[in-house]
Amino acid sequence: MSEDHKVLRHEAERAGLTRLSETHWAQLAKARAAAEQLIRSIPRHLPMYDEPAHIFRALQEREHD
Amino acid sequence: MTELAYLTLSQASALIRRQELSPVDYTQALLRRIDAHDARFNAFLRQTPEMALQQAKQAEADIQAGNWRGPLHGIPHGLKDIIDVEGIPTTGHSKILADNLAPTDAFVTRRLRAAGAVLLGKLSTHEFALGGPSFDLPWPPARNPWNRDYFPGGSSSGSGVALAAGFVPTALGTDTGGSVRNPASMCGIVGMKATYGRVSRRGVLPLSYSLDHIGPMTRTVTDNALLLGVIAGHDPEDPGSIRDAVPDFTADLDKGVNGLKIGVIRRFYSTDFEADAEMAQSIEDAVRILAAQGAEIREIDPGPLADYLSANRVILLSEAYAIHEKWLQERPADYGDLTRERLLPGAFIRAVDYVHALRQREVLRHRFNACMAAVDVALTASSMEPACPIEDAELCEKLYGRQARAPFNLTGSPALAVPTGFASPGLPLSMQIIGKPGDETTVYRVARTYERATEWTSRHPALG
Repeated sequence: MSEDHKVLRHEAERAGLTRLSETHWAQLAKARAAAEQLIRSIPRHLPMYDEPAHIFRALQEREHD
Repeated sequence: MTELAYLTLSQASALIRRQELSPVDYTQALLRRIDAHDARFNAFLRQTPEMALQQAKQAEADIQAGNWRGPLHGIPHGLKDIIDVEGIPTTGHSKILADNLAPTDAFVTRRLRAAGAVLLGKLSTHEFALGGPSFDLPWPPARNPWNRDYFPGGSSSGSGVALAAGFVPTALGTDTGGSVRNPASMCGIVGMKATYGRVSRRGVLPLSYSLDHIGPMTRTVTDNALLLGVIAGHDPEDPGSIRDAVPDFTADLDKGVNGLKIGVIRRFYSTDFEADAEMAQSIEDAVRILAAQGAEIREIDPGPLADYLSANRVILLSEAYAIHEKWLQERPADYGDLTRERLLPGAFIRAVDYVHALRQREVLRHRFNACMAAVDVALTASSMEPACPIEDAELCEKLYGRQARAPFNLTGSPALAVPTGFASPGLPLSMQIIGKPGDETTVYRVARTYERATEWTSRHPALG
């Protein structure tokens, strides 16, 4: 087992993905690569005051903007 | 039979109201058509003929007694099989939920029931509105009525197919990254993703809480506005539901576009992606037609399409993984290959990535709305290409991401896919018209003006 495959197994275990069959491991490796690429495309430099799109609203009756 | 099959909702409704068309006869004619043809197109996962005939008989009796309820009374429809109907399984086209009996109606189902509509059955979808086209699920994928060797789009595949094939005059789909507008584009019909929260999601299998929309799908623009009018409205049990009063979406349909400002987002289909030449040309033709009708055309630039697609994807995958985590842990082999492949990246997206994507969403929403301030509606491509061969998995996967629909799930703006003609092999072309949040009425106004000036929505496939 390669070092990378060991890491992948460890990550899968941490995610509770313990019932994957052997044929699913290639998918998981591909999924990790896809996720890493996707994450790199999201900017991390926004000012800390820029809030997320859906913030908690305390008043149920408050209208959406 | 063909004559009844391609009645528009407006036409059928007028005939039913005047008692010149029996809802029972209409329903039976469509059920016979489905029986005759659907084995080749797989639009329906499950038909509900007994319920349909009972609802049609009730509608007929009510109308004869002088109790016409509105434009959907006695009108057949189909529901994507992630929308609950009490006592009928909601499968999500998945082995995992094959026996999942819905305990109650979804909000939209209840609305349609109250309007006197007639349910013909549950329609094919990509598994959990995500993975498809797939050939390893309990049911086969839907096929395009214009050519059954081609993909009909998805994930609301069955809804698009059932409309184009003349099985129903109205259907509902759902749209998280374009799943109403993609099948609308591939099947040559009209599909609306209204403002986020305009239509309640209660009782619909979620894919991504903050991106999911329920959308009306029809063969004409007017029908679409009528159907949205029935399903729209505040639902206190959907936390995303908006409280705004529901306007008459048909109010401005015949006002034309004289003086309206239309912003063309050309970069999405000429720079960010280079669309197929016939697709791009059909959109440019549409721009010219709308200009000839009196619209003021200008180009707008909301920034790179990739920015929107990435943020949409990170949010969608994070929320979808939260929804599917337990099944992925316990029953990974029960998913179709493609669905599992599309869900698994969510296992590697951390909370911090999700929060950054949500912050980026807000930046993009402001950026897009600032662009829209200068115009009444925007216009751009939906898909970059017409449908691909359904059994060419590699090509389908490649083209699936070449789209300009997901930005408007992110911004929550209303976006309508309308047909713009046909590519040389006879497959539909399309574009999107996008409005300001809450202003579906102007989107329909522009779309109806274009529709009146063309003949695309009156063409139908020969089913053979």
